[in-house]
Amino acid sequence: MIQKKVCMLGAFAVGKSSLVRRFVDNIYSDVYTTTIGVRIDKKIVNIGDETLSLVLWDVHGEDSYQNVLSAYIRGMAGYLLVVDPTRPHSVDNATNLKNLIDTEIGPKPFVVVMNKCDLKEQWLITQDDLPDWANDAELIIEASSKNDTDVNLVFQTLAESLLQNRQAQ
Amino acid sequence: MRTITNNIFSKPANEPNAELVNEWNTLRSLLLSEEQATIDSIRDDLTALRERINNPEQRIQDISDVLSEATVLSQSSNGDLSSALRPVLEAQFSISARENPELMAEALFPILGPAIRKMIASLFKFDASGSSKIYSIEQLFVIDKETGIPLVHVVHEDAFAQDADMVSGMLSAIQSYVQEAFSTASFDGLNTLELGELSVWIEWGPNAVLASVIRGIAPESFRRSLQERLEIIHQQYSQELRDYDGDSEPFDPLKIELTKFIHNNHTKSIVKLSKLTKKQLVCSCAAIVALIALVTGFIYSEVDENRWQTYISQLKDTPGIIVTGESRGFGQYHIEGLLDPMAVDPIVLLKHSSLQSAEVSYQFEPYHALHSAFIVKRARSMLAPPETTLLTLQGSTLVIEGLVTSEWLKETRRFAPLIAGIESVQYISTLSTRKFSQ
Ligand SMILES: Nc1nc2c(ncn2[C@@H]2O[C@H](COP(=O)(O)OP(=O)(O)OP(=O)(O)O)[C@@H](O)[C@H]2O)c(=O)[nH]1
Ligand SMILES: [Mg+2]
Repeated sequence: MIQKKVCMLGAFAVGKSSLVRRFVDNIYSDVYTTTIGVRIDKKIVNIGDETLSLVLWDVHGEDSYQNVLSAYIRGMAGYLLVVDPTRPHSVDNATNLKNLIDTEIGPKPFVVVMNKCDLKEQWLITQDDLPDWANDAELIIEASSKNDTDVNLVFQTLAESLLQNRQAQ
Repeated sequence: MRTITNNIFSKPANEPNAELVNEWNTLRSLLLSEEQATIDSIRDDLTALRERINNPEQRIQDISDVLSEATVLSQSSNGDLSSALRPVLEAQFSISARENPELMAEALFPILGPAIRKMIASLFKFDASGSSKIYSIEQLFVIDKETGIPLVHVVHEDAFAQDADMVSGMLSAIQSYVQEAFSTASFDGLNTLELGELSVWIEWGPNAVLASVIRGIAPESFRRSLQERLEIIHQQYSQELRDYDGDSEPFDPLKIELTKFIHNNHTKSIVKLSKLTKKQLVCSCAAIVALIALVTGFIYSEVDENRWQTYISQLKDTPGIIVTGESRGFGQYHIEGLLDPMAVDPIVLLKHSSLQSAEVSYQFEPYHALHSAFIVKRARSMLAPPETTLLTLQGSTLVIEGLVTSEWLKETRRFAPLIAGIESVQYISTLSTRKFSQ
């Protein structure tokens, strides 16, 4: 079985852990428990007749631990870049993360998640407001862990591009 | 037959007689035919030899044919060749080591381990009684160093760890620990995590890490078998480890070997904990490991940096302390500077700072600070005036107030200007209205 390391990245409280919980255990909670350090989960996805085991590194979103962050992203095959459009500042955060990754380990396939789409009326930005780097993404997906909107699509899309990358090699 | 004149070998002075020359040639061929043939064959050989020498490819071929024998021979006789080669090899070796350390490390890893162990074994005698201690290996992980992904994971069937949650909790802690530890530039090679009655022993290789979860106290000799195991893994799977791209199938055969290894090291006599406490234990263990891992990163975090800078500026603000240099690395701190013996002890300041537990090494040169308080303090201790005498400093003048003997005053006028910061002395015989302090 192919295993790939995937990191969940984004500012704090954008909903990284919630995406993982929904995807892995199909549960959701409105209670915010910030992730301390990192939590590693695993989920097997099927793509056609292939299976891929995603090793999900759910990293805390706090800025000041950037040096620990560069340790966590080592060896990752791809990542989810999560933003919370109700907090436009989370986009700046994503920009920094994207730059950090590109300089530290080089570009990797990624999917941008515009999270909490159940709160769309409170969104302060749309897809068009994302910076240029968003064009490099495999896909930009509006999702909600709360309503289980397109959470599977997020992981499935990334898994597919990881598999394609592998076959291309 | 004509006589042969003795000048026939030299060039005749006159035009040669054609007939004579012919005859001479006939004679020569008769007399010297054998030698001529020899000369011809030598000439041919010589030409061939010259061609051979001038042809670099051929020369390489020739030398390589005999080089290995020659090297062996030289080695066994006088060793001239090896001593000639040594500096070249050494230089090359250090260049490769510098330019491609990873490759070197990889190549040397299976060799170095046994060599180092041999050396250590010859220095120390291991406690043989250690092997009788009770311990058991409950889990083994072979982890890819780059991704932190486990390539192989085996669990002893008796171990509590069959609970999938616990396994993954433990694993996740080890994984993040491995990644953090290894990306810290000054990784100190820490390889044991103690978690109550469980411990995790981690052996580091160039491409993979072997982590074992042990219950009880394992003897030091067990670490050696772990190291050996990891070296063998690197030997057997060197290509697979290097090419690892998420597919752990090539490592499947390792599972059988490691399961055997676990069984050989599992002691039945270990008392197992009740199910509930075990679960709690493991959860907290995982939390502790995660915490340790986090702390590794935290040491470099800004929190610490801030505390350190606060302490430094506190020192800088303290009269009698001059900080000329400071450095900080992986939990260790160093300060250089000048320290007036009369200044507050930096260690006392440290105890009151938020860094209290840190290990700080100081390198202070003594000096005399020119703060007026210090000058006065120094003057008092050197001049030893009567207790009721008040000493103050005005500019560089030491002002003395109160009752003193004329003898003391005379001495003081002489010696006070020798104290750094004091140029002159002024005496006021009666205490003014203000109260003297000190
Ligand atoms: N309305 C809504 N709230 C969400 C959604 N996803 C997460 N949240 C809430 O947002 C808060 C933060 O979610 P987390 O998943 O813990 O965020 P995180 O990115 O893991 O945060 P850190 O671990 O601190 O970096 C929680 O209160 C969640 O309930 C969503 O899709 N819709
Ligand atoms: Mg989280």
